[in-house]
Amino acid sequence: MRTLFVTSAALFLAVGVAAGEKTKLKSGLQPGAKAGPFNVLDCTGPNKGKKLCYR
Amino acid sequence: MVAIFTRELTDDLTSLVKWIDGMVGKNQGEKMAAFVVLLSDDPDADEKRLKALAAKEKIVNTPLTVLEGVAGPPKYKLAKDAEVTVLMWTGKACDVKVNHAFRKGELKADAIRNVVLDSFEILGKKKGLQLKKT
Repeated sequence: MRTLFVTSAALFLAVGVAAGEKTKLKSGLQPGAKAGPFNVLDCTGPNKGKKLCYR
Repeated sequence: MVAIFTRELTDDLTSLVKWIDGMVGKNQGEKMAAFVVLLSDDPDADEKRLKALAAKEKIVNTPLTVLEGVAGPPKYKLAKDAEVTVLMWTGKACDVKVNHAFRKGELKADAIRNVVLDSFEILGKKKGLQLKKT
């Protein structure tokens, strides 16, 4: 009985952890990476109307 | 540097941008800067939307920009299902320190608070905060 309980609890936790990981979205450069240059069209501020890189 | 990539202009995104914009205004001496990149299939129309947003919300320290193509810069590898991705990097080497990514509807008050707290942390202003991460 005790073995069954422990097994069930472990399974419950594993599923919970897996579900938590699934909900965390990974997008874009991760910590440790270096942000590279790219150009955007600035729409506001002192450089509006210019294509430039803000990196 | 705080870079906010978004595929939609929502009230929650606006709230985040206003928070960051305020921080940039108060920390210009520490060279804090930020910009918003709207990933767009219609840059001409979105340019007008961004100008209107900046004027309405008085966003003055954070440039609102547009990038043609919803995929974003290829090397940045933005996920297709990410509505908003926030990156923070520091130094001349542009080392990424912080990454937050949100699907549609995930950028809520708690998430905004966590992003703002991380922006405090990269400024080294962890002490004295009244906000707490959730």
